[in-house]
Amino acid sequence: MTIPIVIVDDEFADRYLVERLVKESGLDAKFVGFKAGDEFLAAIADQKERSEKIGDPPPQMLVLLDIRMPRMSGFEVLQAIQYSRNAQVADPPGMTVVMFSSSKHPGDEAEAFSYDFVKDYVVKPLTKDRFQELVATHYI
Amino acid sequence: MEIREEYQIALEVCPTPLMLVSREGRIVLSNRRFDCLFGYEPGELLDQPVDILVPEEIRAFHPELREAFFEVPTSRSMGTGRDLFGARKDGEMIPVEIGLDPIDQGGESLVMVSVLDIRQRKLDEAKVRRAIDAASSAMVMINEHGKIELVNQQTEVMFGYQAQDLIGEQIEMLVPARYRRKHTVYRTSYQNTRDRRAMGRGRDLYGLAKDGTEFPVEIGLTPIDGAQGRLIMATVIDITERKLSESSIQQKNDELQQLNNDLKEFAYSASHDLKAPLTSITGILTFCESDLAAGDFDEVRANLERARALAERLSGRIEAMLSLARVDSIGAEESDVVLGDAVSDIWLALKNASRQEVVLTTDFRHCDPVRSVPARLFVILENLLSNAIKYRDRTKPESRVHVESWDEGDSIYISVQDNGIGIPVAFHDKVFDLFQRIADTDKPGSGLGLALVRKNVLRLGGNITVQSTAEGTVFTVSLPRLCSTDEGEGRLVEVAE
Repeated sequence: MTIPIVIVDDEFADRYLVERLVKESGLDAKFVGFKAGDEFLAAIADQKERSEKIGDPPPQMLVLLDIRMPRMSGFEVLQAIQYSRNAQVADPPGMTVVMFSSSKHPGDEAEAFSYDFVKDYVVKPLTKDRFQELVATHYI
Repeated sequence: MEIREEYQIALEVCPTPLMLVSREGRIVLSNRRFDCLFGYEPGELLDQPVDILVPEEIRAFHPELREAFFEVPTSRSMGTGRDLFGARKDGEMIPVEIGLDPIDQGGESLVMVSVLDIRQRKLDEAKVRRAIDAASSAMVMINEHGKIELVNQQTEVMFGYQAQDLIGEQIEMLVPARYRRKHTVYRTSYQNTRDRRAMGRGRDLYGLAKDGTEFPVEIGLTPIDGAQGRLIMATVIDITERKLSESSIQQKNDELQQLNNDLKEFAYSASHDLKAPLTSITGILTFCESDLAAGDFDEVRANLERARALAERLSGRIEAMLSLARVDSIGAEESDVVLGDAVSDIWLALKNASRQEVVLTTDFRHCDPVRSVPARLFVILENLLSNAIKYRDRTKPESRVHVESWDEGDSIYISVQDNGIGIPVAFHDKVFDLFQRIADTDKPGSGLGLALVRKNVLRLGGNITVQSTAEGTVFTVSLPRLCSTDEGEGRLVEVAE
């Protein structure tokens, strides 16, 4: 099974770093990048785009979610996901969300873990070891 | 004389100074205490006219008053409501209280005059008076009908009235008109409880001075019951100073609170927005090392370029944060600004290379000059103009920026309108927040420009609003006019390169 590894981050360099880690890891994984939270939400809500980018039926994805982004912060993205789960939007795609931020602010951490689908919190930059640990913890 | 023999002994044993006076005003009899009080030798007053004991200013019409007494002889005290004085032999005037009792002696009308020496009482009263006048608060005593019976000196100072203007008046004359009706009700119901307490707890109380000014007060109420009825003493403290210092402390508190919030926000944003480019650079450099080892020089070159761009962005952010921090230290030096000149100077000085692709038009309908703090006004205009360029819509054939101004009420309005990419309505509240970026541009802004604009607008006592559609965005700044000028002529300025 190919693991979709999704990064939602407005910083090109950070998307690039994750893309290279995925490529060089030798895992059966595919990299999917979004540069804003609203684009990610739109993609998973759209049947066609989702099957194109993530897969059909959507496998459990590993989502690295940045906090400070234009228009929608990572927390607002979490809120929107929670909202669509509560509203029982048809077939919410399974995901393991990992917060992906340059700092670990106690308030941020508490807010992130208040969502049950947030499983981890990574302080940038993501290293090879940390990346492998993430996959091992959440997929093996 | 018979009378004398009959009364002499009785008079001598009586502790009160007494004399017996005939209808003609002659002293028929006096006891030793009486003689002593007025400074005469025993018996010296006998047969003397009683008028010699009366102060000189009264002496002329005293016989008339005396005659009136004998016409309607009843036991009473003399001179009700007036201060009476007796004239001693040595000329000293002593305060006295005098009782008159008619006596019929074998068909002859006499009057028994008792005189009380009230010097000590007067001294005591003066002492009490000095004490209440020494009080730093105003003291107003009212009777149960709300009439003022007594005021101290501080009352005169505080309310600007003379005591005689107040005595006998309703207490409501010291209460602002809008509270008078209620005050009468409160006062009447206080008569039922008559407890010792502060007036109007939880309400703001005001006093009304003679010149019509109002001032905040604190009032303590104390019931005083006595022979003169159910009185109330109100102690009034002028708390104008206290209110002022309270509000200045409140203001300082708010400012500190604001600074504290700014600091928290700064710490948070430093941990994210300033650290973010550094973490990205670290990540990129790590790959550079492995790419170097692998000999992939093209990738190294590309990554070094990315690292440099990130470093530049970080430097820009730090620069912007410093300008934001400096907003508080900009002085308040005002001067006159000609808005049109300011706009064209700023436009020409903009470092944005894309300026040439944007057409600036202006329509100034306000009156120049504008009194302002130029350092702040320039930051506002510079950021709004530079945003208009940065967020232009490249799909439109022509990018335009239009600056307009007009006077309205006591404010000058300046609007900067563009036909750029616009800001979705959902983000209008956010655009002024720290590090909020709405658009995905190639070269992201610092996310601080509008925060900086708003901070400066607020410091100038103004306001800023945003309206935006797909057609473009209008920022409208209103600033209070610091001084008004005559109506100027509208003019249209085209700023050319």
